[in-house]
Amino acid sequence: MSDTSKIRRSRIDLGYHKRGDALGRWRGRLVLFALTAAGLWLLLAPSSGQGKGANLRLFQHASLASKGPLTRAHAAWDNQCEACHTPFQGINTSRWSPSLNRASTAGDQNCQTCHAGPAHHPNQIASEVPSCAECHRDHRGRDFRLAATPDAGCTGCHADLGRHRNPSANSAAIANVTAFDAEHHPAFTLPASLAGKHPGRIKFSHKRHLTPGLVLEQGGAPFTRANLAAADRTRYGGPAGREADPVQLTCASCHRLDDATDATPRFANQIPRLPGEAMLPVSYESSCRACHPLAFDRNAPTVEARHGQEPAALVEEINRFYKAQALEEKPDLLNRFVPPQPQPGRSAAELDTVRDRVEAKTLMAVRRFFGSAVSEADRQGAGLPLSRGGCVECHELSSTPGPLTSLAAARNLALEPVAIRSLWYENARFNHASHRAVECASCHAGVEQAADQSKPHMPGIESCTTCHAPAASPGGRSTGGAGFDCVECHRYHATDVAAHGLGSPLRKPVAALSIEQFLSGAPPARP
Amino acid sequence: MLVFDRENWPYHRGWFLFVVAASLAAAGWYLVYGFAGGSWAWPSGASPPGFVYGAIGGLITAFEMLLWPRKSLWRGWRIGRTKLWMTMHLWLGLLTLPLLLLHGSFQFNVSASALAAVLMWLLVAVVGSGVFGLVVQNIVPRVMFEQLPAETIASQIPRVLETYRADALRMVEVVCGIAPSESVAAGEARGMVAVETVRQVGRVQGLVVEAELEAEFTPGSESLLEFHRRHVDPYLSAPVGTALELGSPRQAVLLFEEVKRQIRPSAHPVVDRLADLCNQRRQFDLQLRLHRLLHTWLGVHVALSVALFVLMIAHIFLAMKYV
Repeated sequence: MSDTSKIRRSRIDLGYHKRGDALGRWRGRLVLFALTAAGLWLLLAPSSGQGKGANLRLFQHASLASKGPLTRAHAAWDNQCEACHTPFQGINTSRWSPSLNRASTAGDQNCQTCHAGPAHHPNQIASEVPSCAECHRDHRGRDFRLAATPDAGCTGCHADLGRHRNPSANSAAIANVTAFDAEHHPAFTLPASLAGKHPGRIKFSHKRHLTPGLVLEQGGAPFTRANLAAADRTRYGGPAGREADPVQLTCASCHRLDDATDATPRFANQIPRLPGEAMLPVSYESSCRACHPLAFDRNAPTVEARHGQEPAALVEEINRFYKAQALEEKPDLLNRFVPPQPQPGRSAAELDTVRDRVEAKTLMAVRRFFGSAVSEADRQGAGLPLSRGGCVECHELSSTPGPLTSLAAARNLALEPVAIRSLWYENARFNHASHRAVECASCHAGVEQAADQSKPHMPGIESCTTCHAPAASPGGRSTGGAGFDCVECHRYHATDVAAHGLGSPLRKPVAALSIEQFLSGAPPARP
Repeated sequence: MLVFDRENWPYHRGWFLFVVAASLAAAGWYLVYGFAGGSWAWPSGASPPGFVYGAIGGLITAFEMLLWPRKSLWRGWRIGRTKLWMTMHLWLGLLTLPLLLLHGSFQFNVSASALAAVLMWLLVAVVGSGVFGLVVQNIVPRVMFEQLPAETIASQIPRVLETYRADALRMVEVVCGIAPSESVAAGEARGMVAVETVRQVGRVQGLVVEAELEAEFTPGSESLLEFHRRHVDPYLSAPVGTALELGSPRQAVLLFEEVKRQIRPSAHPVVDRLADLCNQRRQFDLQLRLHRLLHTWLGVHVALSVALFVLMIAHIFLAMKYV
């Protein structure tokens, strides 16, 4: 045998494994390339971008940080970290993950350049006040709602408020809140000044006014479209119908949404508001006058007493009307000389007769307005219109009038002041327009059957939690699903106004910026 | 490492179930946390679940990278069995994908946050290349076992082919009388030579070394010399992938049948031997292709892993500094 298996095996280089093959060398070069590419990118990227700030150093470039896009309102500063991060470090003081930096609240000043606001509460503990970014965490996408802060930001203190308010402050205790439900949130309460009574001091029966024809009495004559002026029939009687049809009022017949076109508050405790957010307080002119005109003379049905004046002024107004009427009937009375004092031998009988008649008519009208008994014969004799009670049908007198035997007695009358509120719950916001698809009585329960105004029919927390709670299907019935975060109803930065106002949009900036300053994210230095 | 065969799957089943359960648990916590406010809000990487997943994913990634020094640097000091290392590399590596995707909130938009997005893409590429390698390693060895009985050490194929080429030339020259046989030169009777050839016993086939009678001069074999010059030698010496007629098994059979018809039957064993060498060459071609497939992914996987690891360190530094 000239060749053997041993020789054959020697044809393989037995030390081949000690030398790398082509694939191994290629792999090594690839690893080196990856290492170099990654290193170079990290080293060079910081100097390749735009908008570097003076504080930028290695690894501080915006394109390297895992920052996430800013919300749309802040998008101009997506690559200008110093617009908020001054100094350049994290600004979220409450992060729980470890960090190489101690977070700073210095960036809050930058926020407050545009978003100035009052302190949350006079009793807050200064050291516990979080930085802006602790609640409003940006870098979460263009469409992220910065104002929709998580509940934890509120319940961090409000879950045990006794430990998080200035102990030296002397103020009433506030119930703790941990979640929005009847168990973990205090019941809705009216301001202490309204406790136990309706502040409007108006005698009003929702039940009567929501009954067709506005008549509760058996066999009573209904109030029909014919009783309304033509201009009011659509609003109060519906768009179509016969004149004999009874009037059917709805909530919206009197309660109108505030379109907020008038920036100046027109009513007591009217809040800074969005269109449709609040209801306008019911006023005589807008909601009552069509059915309750203050006409006082059947022969002059278009003449109405002015609403909203004191009884003495009303007496004078009516008195002036009848004086004018008397002069109209006998114009020559104007040509009569009327001595300043009665003169012996000169009779003033005619003048006295006219004066007496005017005062009698005035007294009769005033008596009807203020609830003193007026016989039907007297009413007809005086030419007064059918009575619906006058002023005291809706208003209360401060004192019992007794028999009104003279105008002097009428002038001494006083009405209880009326204060129809625009806002009932002052510690939260509510937008009626957002809830327009829901029947009023769904929340204002019982109001349709209320025969008087002994209490305001304001909804309780259970009305809200029916929808504003986690979605559930108890017994196959869907409940909840609508948002129930704290910020749905409460504002942190606007507690200086009732219902927490509109917040940031109402605040003037600390310093107005030029467009260049604004876009550069470099607010002017503050002292 | 074979995973999905009857023998190995019971060993891997527990790991598989662990990875699935851990992924579902991670997704569950993530969803619960994201919906905690009543509506969905992506938990950030610094949120409790995001941070935990990031920390675990980072530690696993560091462990995965240890496989490299373990194989390259610590050959003489191996901690744990290779099989256990590879099993943990495989399954824990797969677990990093859901964990780190959740940690990064599926942020693949490079323009939004370049480093985070690059890390996301790298993670997917690393895990993808690893899975590709796993699949390849489960399929290719089986193909090689069944179709490459002549398999030899891949890096030595050119060297072996040089041997085959010399053998072929020697045989042809002896048969054609151009060179004397070694026996004739030594004045001995016709001797035996050792040859490598493919043999099959039952279902097992492989390359064996056999003793064969040495070739002898056969008059009228000039066509064999021409055939060797035109086909066999170019094929045995050509680089892998060169398109030659003998590269096709069917064409090779026709060519060798043709040359047999042109020479005496006593020279046919030499033709058969040449055909066997060309068959082995074809197998070497296939082996090299499969070898590249089997090993190229690893280069990509390792390079991407290195980039991922380096950038991950930078990401951790940045996140800790500016979160």
